[in-house]
Amino acid sequence: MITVRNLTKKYRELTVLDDINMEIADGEIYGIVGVSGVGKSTLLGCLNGLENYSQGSICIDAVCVEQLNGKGLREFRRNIGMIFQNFSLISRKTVYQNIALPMECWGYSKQEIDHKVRELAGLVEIQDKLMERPDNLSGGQKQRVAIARALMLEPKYIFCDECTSALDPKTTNAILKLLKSIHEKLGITIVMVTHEMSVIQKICQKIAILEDGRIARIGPVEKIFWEQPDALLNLTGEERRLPLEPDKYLLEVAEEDMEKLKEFMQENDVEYRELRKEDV
Amino acid sequence: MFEGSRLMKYLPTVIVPAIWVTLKIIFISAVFSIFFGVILGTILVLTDDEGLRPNKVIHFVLEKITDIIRSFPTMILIVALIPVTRLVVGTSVGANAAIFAITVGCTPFATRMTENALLTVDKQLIRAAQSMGASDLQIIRKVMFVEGLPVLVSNFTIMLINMLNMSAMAGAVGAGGLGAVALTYGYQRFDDAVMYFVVAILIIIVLFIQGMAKIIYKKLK
Repeated sequence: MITVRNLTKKYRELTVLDDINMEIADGEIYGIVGVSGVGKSTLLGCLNGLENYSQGSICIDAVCVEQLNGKGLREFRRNIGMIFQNFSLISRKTVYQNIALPMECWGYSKQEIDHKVRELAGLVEIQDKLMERPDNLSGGQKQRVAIARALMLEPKYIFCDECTSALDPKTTNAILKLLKSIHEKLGITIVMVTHEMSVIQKICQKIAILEDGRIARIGPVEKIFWEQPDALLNLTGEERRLPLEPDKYLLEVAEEDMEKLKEFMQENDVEYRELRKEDV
Repeated sequence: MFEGSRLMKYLPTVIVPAIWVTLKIIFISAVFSIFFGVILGTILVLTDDEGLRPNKVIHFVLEKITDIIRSFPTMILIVALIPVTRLVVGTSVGANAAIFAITVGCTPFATRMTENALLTVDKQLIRAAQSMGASDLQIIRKVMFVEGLPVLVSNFTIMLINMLNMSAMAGAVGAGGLGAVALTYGYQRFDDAVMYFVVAILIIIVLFIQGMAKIIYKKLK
C-alpha cells in the first residue's frame, strides 16, 4: 500500500507538487495522468526516493521515504522496479548483462543471476536476444529488456515513467498486454505515469489527474472517463470523447445517417454516451 | 638541402635513445595523469549540483585549481615548477623531472576529459541504476565508466598527443628526448635533416597513437 500525505515539492520559488494526497492499494494498476511538465515524473521520483520533497509524507508498506537515507533507501528501492520512457539500457552491455545488473548490484551468485535472467527473458519473450546489444533491438524489444530488468529483484511494485511514449501504437499494445499479464501472474502493483489516454483506458484501474502540480481528480478510470469526460478532453487536447470499451460502445455512423440518429436521440431523450447497438 | 648533415651519425647515438626517452616520458606521465585525472574528474562529476553527492565547496575548489593550472602556458608551467620538481624528484633536468612537470600539467587536462566523458552518460541511466538500489560506487563502476569509456578513450587520445607536444617543449628546458634533439642538434646547429627527421618521428608517433585509439574506440563502441 502506497500512501501519500500532503506532499509538496518546491524548486526554489516554484511549487512543482502541491499538497498531493493519494492512496494506491496493493495489486492495483494506478495511473498518474497529466500534460507534460505537470509534475508526474517528479511525483514518481518522490515515490521511490529519487527526488527529495519539501513537505509531506510518502509511506510504502509502513516504511516512510523521508525517514530513509543511505543503505535504508537502497533496501527500500529493491521493492520497486522502474521502467523509463527511453528504456535506460547500457548500450555497451548485452541484453543479458543489462537484465543481470540489479542482482549483480546486490551480490547474488552467478548461478542465481543466470537462472533469473533466463526465466525473465522467457517471460518477456526475448530469450533469443540475450547476447545482442540494445542498439540492435527494436523499441518494443528494448522495453521488454527494461521490464525484465525491473523484475529481477522480485519487486512488489513497478513504476512506469511514460514507458510507452516512445513506442508505436502496435508495440504500445504489446507492452501493455505484457504488463497486464505480469500484473496478473505476479500480483505486482503497477503505477503508470502517462499522458496517453489510450494507455490509461487499456490498463489502469484507478487514476489521479494532475493539473498545475495538484491533483485535480482522482478515482476509478470508468467513473472519470464517463462522468467527467470533458475534463479528460481538456487535459489531452483531443477533439472527441473516447469510448471506454470500443467494441461495446463505439458506433460507426455514416454521415447521411447522422441526422436520423440525432432525431432518434432527441425523441428518446438519450445522450449519445448511453447508446448501445441494441438501442438503435 | 641536407648536405653535410650529421643525421646518420646522430641516429644511433642520439636520436634512437631520445625516442625511448620521449616514449618513457609520455608513457609514465600518461599513467600518472590519467590515474589522478580519473579520480579528480570523477569527484568533479559526483560533487556537481546534479551529481550523486553534490558538494559546492569541494566542486568549486577542485574546479578552480584545475582551471588555474590549465591556464599556464606549458613552458612557463615547467619553469615555474622547477623548485617543486627539485623538491620531489631531486633534480630539475632529465626525464624524471619532465615526467613530474608533465604529470602536473596534464592532470587538470585529464580531470576535465574524465568529467566531460562521464557527463555524456545519460542521466536517466544513472537514475535507473539508483532505482534498482545500486550504490554510488556501483553506479560509477558499472554504469558511468562502462557507458562513458569510448568517449574517455577518445578524450585521452587528445591528451596523449598534447603530452607529446609538452614533452617536446620540455626538451627546451632540459628534459631530453626528441624535443631536445630537434632543438639542440637540429635547430641550433642548422642541421635541417636532423630537425625534420625528428618531426617525422613525432608525426609517426602521433599517427600511431591516433590509429590505435581509433581501433580501440571502435571496439569499445
